[in-house]
Amino acid sequence: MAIPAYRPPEDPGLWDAFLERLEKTLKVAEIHPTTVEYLAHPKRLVTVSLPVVMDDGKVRVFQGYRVVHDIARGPAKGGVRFHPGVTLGQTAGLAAWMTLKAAVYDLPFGGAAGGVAVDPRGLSKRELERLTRRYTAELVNLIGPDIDILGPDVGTDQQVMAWIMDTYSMTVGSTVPGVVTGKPHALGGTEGRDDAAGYGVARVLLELSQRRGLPLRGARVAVQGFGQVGGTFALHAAALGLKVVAVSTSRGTMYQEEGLPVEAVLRHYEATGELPRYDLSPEELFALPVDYLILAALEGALDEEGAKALQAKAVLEAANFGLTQEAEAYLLGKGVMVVPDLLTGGGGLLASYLEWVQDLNMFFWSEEEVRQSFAKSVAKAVAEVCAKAEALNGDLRTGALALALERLNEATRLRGVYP
Amino acid sequence: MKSEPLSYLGKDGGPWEIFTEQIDRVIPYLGRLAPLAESLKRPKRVLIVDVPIHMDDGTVAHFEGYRVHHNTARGPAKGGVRYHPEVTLSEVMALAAWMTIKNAAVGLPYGGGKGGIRVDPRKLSSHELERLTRRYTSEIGTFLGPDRDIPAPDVNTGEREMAWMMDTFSMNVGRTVPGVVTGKPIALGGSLGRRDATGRGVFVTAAAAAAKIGLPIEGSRVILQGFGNVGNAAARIFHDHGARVIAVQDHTGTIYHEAGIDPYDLSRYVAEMGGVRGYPKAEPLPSPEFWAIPTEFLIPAALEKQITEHNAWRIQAKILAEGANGPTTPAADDILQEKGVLVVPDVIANAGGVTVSYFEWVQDFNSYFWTEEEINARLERVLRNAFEAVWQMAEEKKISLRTAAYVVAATRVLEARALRGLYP
Repeated sequence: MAIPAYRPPEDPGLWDAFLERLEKTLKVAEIHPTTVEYLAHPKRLVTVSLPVVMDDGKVRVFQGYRVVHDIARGPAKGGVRFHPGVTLGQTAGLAAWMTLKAAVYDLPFGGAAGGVAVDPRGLSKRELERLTRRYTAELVNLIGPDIDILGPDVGTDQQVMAWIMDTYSMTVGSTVPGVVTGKPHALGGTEGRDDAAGYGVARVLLELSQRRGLPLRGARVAVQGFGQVGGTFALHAAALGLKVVAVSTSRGTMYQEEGLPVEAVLRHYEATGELPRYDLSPEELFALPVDYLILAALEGALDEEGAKALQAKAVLEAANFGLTQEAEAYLLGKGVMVVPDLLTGGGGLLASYLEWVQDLNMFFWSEEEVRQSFAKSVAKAVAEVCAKAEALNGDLRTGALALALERLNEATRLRGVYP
Repeated sequence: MKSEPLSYLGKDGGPWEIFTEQIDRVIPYLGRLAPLAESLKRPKRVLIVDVPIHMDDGTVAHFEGYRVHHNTARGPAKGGVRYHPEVTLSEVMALAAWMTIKNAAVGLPYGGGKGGIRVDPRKLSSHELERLTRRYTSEIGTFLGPDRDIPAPDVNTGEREMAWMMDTFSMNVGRTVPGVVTGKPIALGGSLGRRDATGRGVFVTAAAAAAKIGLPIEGSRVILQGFGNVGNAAARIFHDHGARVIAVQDHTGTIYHEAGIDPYDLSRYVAEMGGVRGYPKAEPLPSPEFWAIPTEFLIPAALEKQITEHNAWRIQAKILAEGANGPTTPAADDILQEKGVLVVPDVIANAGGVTVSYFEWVQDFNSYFWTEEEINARLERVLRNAFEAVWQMAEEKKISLRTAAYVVAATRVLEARALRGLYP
């Protein structure tokens, strides 16, 4: 590693992945060394011990984290993850990724991430509530609508966001919906939030097809992962006239050459947690004859072996770090378009931004107003990433990273070094 | 566990008891939220303050002031401040609770609050009133703020008092905070469209009800009780949409003209003469006959308890839209329901005022002010949505619009309460 950088105590995981991407991009983008120093060192890493009275009366202590990576462009923004695998290194990497994503979409946010090392399915609802409230209380002086804004991530949902909002509001003595996004509608959540991530992927695909002359109506799509992102994407893709021929979960792939009845499949999946049937193994999805492959599952889902079987013209990385670096290098060499997570996966963050804006004003938009503003921001981000990639004569990931770093560079330079 | 009754209210619960009875009546419709209804019967905070002021003659007088936050599950408390010698804590609590219901029924991001001072303002000089308002504002200051509690005008308070409150709060915290009160003068961050807001809301909700039963506004007949701010605006807006105002009643008398009364012309007459009596382009009518006039719309826009079991059976209107607060007694309500008169309840029918208060507060946050057209369009959208939700609930549960408005409101408040959970 050439850049002097922060080292997490254990499991550098995603933090190293961020540093690698940063270093690679420095070869093509002109970034001042001071900016690089800033980005290579998270602004603030907080570890908190969270004692919780369990339902059996015993006290268990959980480990919680909150990392603010960079605030040059605005208050920090990032999700809260409840998962047994949460570590400081992973949280730092996710926080840095939020810094970049916000910059790609030109949102006035810095990057943050947080979480608790816990399996939420192993807790009762009351225990989960007490854990959430204690986590919030421990961070209360470090968060706020103009400091650090939380949001949902793996293992957290609207209810958890509502508890965070309530705990923060009660502690500071006034109602502050803008401290957290992804809230229920009754507490200042936004219209169009539930399907924002999938809608974002669909809008990115639409914009790219128009810019790059790719087929849209009748084009064939395979979707890996059928959770929040994959499911809502499939619905919007069908609405755009694409043919969703395959979807998969960790259990297997459902494939139907003439296109799946997306709505019915989604209903079945929501009711049972299973696809109606499994025609192929999960990995066989990658080799299907399709125009587009959407990666909406976990990080590292597509490796080099999977990439070699690929027939798609383009891969859209809806999940963070969906492709391994080897898989990406192979696909780019073959002339396959790779649409990076920083661009494809921005829908959730964008919806969070629109929610926060409405909360600051306490004035709420209609669904059409939200959708319009959303679509406009996606179109702008796609156009700017494409333009940057073309100017650098590079791929879209390089374009997105360079665009983000240049914006961060400008903000960091203008603000200077305090004091 | 059953909770104890509120110890700080006397045996005679007064208006607060009426509110808790209303809540008991909607509990059967609240489903899984019903166990939380107890939280509506407990005001979040009640503040009683002593307000001492120097009188002009050099003596010191003490007044009793109140500010109640009934519920803040859906947002900061919001509600007016009234100056009246008969104000009681029970009344202020009930009024705060009704604000919780109204704000939730309309879908505004507010809880409910209310305040008041036991004082007859006509017996104070303007300087004494100013000192009273400023001392009261300071005493309840820690309760107030644009994200805590936002007062507004009510009985015997207006733009002038709101300006004093805004100034006092701003001086205390050291910066200008227009969003701490609404109903301010335009020059201090007040909103356009406020004067006609309540009357416009009466029209919007009455028209939404008319659309549901296939009744066109154009050519329909309207009679109004009360020709103050609300009645006057409602009459003009009905008239502008092609309806015919055929009768108006106020404290001076009743006038009737089958071919239609021009409300603009009548406004000029009333401004000069102080009432509708003697208006030359209409015929006088004995006041009790007002209720029996054949008409499509009846708008009570004066005082409470005007429609009782004594006159309700004579009413021939198809739609009764309550511009005033509580104009219909429960006994009259039953008669009207039997007769098939569609009653658009006060909770939504006269919510135009608080809705524009909400717009004022939003504009104050941004220090960016909307045009009157923007305000009117948004007002219409908010109230149409509110009416639609209440109508759907009434259809679904086979209940009156009044009960449905309470069910919608209580459901929204308790839903927020359930989502937020019990702190800590």
